[in-house]
Amino acid sequence: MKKNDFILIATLLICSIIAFFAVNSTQTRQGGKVVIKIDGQIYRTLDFSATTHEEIIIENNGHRNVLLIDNGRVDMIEANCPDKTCVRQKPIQYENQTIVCLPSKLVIEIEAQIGIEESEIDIIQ
Amino acid sequence: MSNRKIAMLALLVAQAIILSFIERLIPTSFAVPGIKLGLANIITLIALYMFSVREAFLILVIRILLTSLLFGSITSLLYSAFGGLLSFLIMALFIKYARNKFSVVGISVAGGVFHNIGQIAAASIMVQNFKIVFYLPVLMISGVITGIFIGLIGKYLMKYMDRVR
Repeated sequence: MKKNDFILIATLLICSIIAFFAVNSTQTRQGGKVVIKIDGQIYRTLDFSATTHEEIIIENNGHRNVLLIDNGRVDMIEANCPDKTCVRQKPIQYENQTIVCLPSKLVIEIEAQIGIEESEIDIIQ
Repeated sequence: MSNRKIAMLALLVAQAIILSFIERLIPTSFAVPGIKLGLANIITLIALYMFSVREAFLILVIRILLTSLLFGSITSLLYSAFGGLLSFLIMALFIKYARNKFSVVGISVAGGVFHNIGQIAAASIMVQNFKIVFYLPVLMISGVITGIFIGLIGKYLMKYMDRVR
């Protein structure tokens, strides 16, 4: 390995670690709304809180995904696509977090609940 | 193209397909989608050093098409192709203009990182959602780590490949 290799590796690592913390800082507030988008279009939105317990079945073009909202978190628990990447993703609960399912062009986003002032939102860590 | 060269290129394509297959057998579970070792990139790397850019490109295109046909889907074809092509372009440019400044490891790291950038770009265009870009920092870190690993393998393998040539 040459000196330039180390410079390249260090630069890339420093940049991505800074970006990682920058992204993380936008994902610290507990969200209150799940937005389900297919192909960029809103399919369904749903408000949720720590007490919401709901299973949502999303069916579109032969793709079937099951989303579970429980304990203030949103998790994809079932998918009929071959790769199951979305099922392996961790549950999400903070604003701006997403779960992606590429085969069905599905994105689950967490947003702040509309109508609630920031100070009134309980931050659950 | 000589018969010997055709046989060598076919051999590398076959190796790349087997490596893609082995990679599929390794279970990976991460919070972030898209993290993978990129074992087949070993072959692209070796091909870029041993053959011309055109020949290496041929190996890459045939490998992507065949692995998608054998084990993938249209979706995986689209975004692995995007990542693969961007990574190839970056590695080819590095080898052309900075071959003496970087070792195989550095070039492989650049390729790994740009593979993930291409993959995320393709994915966010496909689902028309740019919040996916938030996954990029983690994917870049994983690209650096897998890039080092792939580069080291490529480095040791190339000693033996030289004898074959």
